[in-house]
Amino acid sequence: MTSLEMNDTRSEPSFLRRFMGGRRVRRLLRHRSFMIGLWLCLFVTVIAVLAPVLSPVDPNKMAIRSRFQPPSLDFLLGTDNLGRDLFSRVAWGARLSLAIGLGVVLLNAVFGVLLGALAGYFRRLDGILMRLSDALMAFPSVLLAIGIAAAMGASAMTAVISLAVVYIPRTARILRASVMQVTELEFVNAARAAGAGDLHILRRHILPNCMAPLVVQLSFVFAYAILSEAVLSFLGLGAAPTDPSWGIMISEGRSYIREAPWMTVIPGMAIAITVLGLNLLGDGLRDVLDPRVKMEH
Amino acid sequence: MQTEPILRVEGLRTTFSGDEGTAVAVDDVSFDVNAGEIVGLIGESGSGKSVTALAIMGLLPKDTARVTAERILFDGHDLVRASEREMRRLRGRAIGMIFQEPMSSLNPVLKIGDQLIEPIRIHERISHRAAFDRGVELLSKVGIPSPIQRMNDYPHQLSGGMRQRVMIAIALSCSPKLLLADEPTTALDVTIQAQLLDLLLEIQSETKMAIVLITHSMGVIAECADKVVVMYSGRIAEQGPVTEIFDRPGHPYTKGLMQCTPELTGNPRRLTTIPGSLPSLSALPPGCRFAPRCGLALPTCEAGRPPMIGLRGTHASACIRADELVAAAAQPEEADA
Repeated sequence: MTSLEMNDTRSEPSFLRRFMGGRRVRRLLRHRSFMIGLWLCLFVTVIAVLAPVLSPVDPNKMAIRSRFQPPSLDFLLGTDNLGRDLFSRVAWGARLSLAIGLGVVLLNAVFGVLLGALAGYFRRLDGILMRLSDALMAFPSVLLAIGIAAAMGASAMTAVISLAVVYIPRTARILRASVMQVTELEFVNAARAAGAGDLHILRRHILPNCMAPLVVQLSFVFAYAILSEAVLSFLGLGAAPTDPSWGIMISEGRSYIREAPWMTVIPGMAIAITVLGLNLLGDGLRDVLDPRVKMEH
Repeated sequence: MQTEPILRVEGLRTTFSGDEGTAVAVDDVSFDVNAGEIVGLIGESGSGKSVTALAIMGLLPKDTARVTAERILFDGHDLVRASEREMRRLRGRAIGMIFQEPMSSLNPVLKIGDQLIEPIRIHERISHRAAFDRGVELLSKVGIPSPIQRMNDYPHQLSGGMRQRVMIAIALSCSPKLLLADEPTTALDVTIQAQLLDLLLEIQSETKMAIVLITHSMGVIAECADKVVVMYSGRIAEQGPVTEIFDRPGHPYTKGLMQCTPELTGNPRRLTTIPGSLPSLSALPPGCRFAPRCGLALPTCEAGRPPMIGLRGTHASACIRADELVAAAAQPEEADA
């Protein structure tokens, strides 16, 4: 399963089959940056999933004799200041990053959709929900995440929750806008004229028509979450220091940047590849799924 | 003809409040629809026809629209005072509705079949299988070929005419007693229009349901309706049996509408238009709202709202010169004879 599919199917089980239809899938497969993004994401996902098999040694196994080894055939990506194998650590770090990203995406899919749908459909709730989200969005995102993470104590779970709190208002806003747009369409009135209730209309008629912008948004949230998780970990507010996290690896490598630059560069590249992949994927999805962009092409 | 109407609208008034103040879209509209009758609701765009239908259905947005009426009696229910729950039970089951725009009244991401059986599944305890079978039956009834395949199609795979047939099937799915058809053929080709009207008439003669047919075409009215309600600027200008209205129009507006419809028989003539346009809802004339555009207007027309004047039978007109008009219309016929 690719990260794209994980991303989509969790929010709407039959989304790929039902909504994108054959033509859209074909357009995506011909979209160059989408395909590059897809391959990058696939690559990272495969490494993450197969980390236990691929990594030659335990990512936390220290070997004082082989400290500061540059990348070589023995140590594919070199070793760090404690002689830990960087390839193993990066591979396991991919697991952690993707898991945290996925957690943030899932929380966004659930609560962003819930809040956005309520605000967009029940206009009475709109004022209060949107003012709350304004309040959250007024903070710079990383600062807010740092604040929440610091208040709750550092752990991977904290990182997920704090990043979810940061991004849920944004997701909710996007969903609210598309819910408001779809609500105006005639088939919603037609469903009402057929005797359908509000929840039925929201679930069956409105939300399935709001999936395209949601999927695009979630792919970007995935990317930002991975990036911000690295920032939190770098600052010591994310994963536990013993966990192989990309942010922690960069932070450790910083002290040795002159002697062993690969300690910083390797996890940095890992972050760059993953975030780039997700962003390209998101751009491609937006080009193909978002009708407004399509018109400009 | 039955005496007890299936739908009785009395004193319906609908106002919209917005940033620019309040606009009265429908003002004191009353009419009856008897069981098995087709009532044509005609008027220009913006005359309040659609709003009337949506008000009856209780579908106007609650935050901006205010609907009041002495009563809207439908089959023993007073729709103005009914709870949302009660309305939901009536909508789609006892009252069906067809919308103007077949392209946008179907949900693009749901299969035709799922949308068709939706009202059945909402209102009746019936298995998906049984509802599906009924859907297939309905599709073939509205003249859609290979209905089983069409059940699994998405709306974009169907043409406009086919979609409108699906909309008709959806509206009919629970055998309603009343069908509100809001310009069901306006968005379609002329040939398709005629087919769909024939279909509606055929179904109507079979099921004996009452239909309120909203249109701005006198031709459609002439072909289908038993009774006509002519609306102008939110008020009823004239109403009565269709033959009566066509033979002896009692309102200059009705007459104007008829003169701008081409005739297929007789000598072609230059079509006359009604000069001017509907008054803005925020600047309505104090008296008869048609007076500024009316060739027969008298100074008294501008003074106050003209009362409904009863003419022959149920025929009534909101024009103080209705009697003269009717008498004038009767004369040329005699001259011909």
